[in-house]
Amino acid sequence: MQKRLLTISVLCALCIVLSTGVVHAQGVIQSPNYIIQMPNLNSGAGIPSSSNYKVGTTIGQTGPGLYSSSGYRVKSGFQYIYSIIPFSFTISSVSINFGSLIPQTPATSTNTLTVASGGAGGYQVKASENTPLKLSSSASTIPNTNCDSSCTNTTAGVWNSTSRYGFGFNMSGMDVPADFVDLTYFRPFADRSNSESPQIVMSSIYVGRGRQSTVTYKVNISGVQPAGLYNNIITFTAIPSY
Amino acid sequence: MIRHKLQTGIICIFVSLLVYLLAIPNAVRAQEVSLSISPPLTELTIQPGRSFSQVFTVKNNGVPVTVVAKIFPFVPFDRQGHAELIEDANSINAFTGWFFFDPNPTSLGTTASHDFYVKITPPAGAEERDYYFTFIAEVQNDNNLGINNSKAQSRIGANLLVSVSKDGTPGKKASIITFAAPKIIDSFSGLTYKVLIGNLGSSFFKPVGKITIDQILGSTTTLNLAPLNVLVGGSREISCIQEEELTPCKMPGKFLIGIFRANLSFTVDGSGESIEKQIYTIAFPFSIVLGLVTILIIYRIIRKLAS
Repeated sequence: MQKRLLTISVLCALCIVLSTGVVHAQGVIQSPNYIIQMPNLNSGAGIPSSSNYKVGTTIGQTGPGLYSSSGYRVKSGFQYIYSIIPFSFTISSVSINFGSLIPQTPATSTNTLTVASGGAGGYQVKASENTPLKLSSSASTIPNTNCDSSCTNTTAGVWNSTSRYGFGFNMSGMDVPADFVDLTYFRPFADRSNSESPQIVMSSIYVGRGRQSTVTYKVNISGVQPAGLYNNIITFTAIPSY
Repeated sequence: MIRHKLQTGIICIFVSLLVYLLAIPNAVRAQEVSLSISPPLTELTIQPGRSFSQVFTVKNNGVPVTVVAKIFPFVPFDRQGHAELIEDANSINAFTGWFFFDPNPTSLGTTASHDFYVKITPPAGAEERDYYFTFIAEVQNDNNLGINNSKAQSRIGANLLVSVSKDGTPGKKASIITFAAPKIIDSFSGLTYKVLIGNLGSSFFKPVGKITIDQILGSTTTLNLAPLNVLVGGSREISCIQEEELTPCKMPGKFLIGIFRANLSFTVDGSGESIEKQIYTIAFPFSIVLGLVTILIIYRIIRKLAS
């Protein structure tokens, strides 16, 4: 009985291991030094299998005759860099709740941004807001912060005072701009409704795996702020370096 | 007894495997949005009027989301390879005829992936020059009203460098804007080289080359340049590459002494004439000398006071 139980257990384990090992869709080029995950690149691509392929895939090669017949030449992926690691971007929580806002009592909320750019050799994450925090039923807004004395989309400033009102954010962790000296430094988000360009909140020129930062959002309202539910959308755009 | 231990061991392994294979890969935190994209970079040289189809694979590792594909032109943002998307309607509309892809929202469940097929066709009359784009997968937000909140929206991109050329050999020309290091350093301060390469041609290129550092009456060290793209009309700070990792171009070793002659040499895309520049650095143990002098002075003062 015990023997059967053992046999069934081992067989089950083997089935699970083997079934999770199935790879779908992606093509793979592999050599002792490189493993390249690659989607089908074009209509005539296929997956090169020559032992001469060491790095990023090249299609429509460099010979002039070949170029004029195919009409293109293409390279995909980063050459000489670990292409096995995809470029990925994670936001820990998309909902940033402030709850009920009390005048002159700052409310904060946080989420984390994580970037893996192993196959890209560098990256940037830019942030912007569609509008300042805004009442859905009217044009009333909670203005973007000016911090205690001053701060801009590109330069953080200290924001400790409870009598300075607005909405802003702080960045801490890896690859964040140097002007976020500590957790008291804030910036307003770039406001796209005011034609402001998204600003870098994380960046690196080097290969990064699991680069993580924390965004702290802060809102502080005055006693005359109209009552209601305020919302906006913060867009984070992660792009690898070229 | 041995048999019992064996049974226990096998059951433990089985349970561990179950936990690892079933529980851990499915650990997606509530509200976590996680996307990956491949390939992160596509470099295309194409004749006007010809077509090429590229596939961008977007994988969802977070909660189920709806994703929309977009393509924006970009310009270099800085000297470090970062892109500045141009998102105004006029700029986007100028290239609508170049791209064919499905602009409809696509649902992606947890661990699901989707291949976005993008057909690129520069018009027959397109000017022979470079055009730079970023493919963006944008997560669509639901409007969850009812509380004071901000919604974070995620977008992930992959760059697409297009060089339109009839003969496939666009003019490529590089220049060394900066190749620098301190002229005199302390032996313990380290020696890092700054390399800034400019693009004076009509198409993007990669510098393929190295920095060879000869210590006068000493050994030779080679630092390989990372083949990073330098876009037209701009310049780029070039890192070095070591075992497939981008690193600062830094002389190895914690203690350097002597005269170091560094020779930067590279070619455009690995062919053609080599472009070179040479600089010198003197490394001297100033801190050690300063320390010795200080000790000597203190010693003499103590001796003077004692006598």
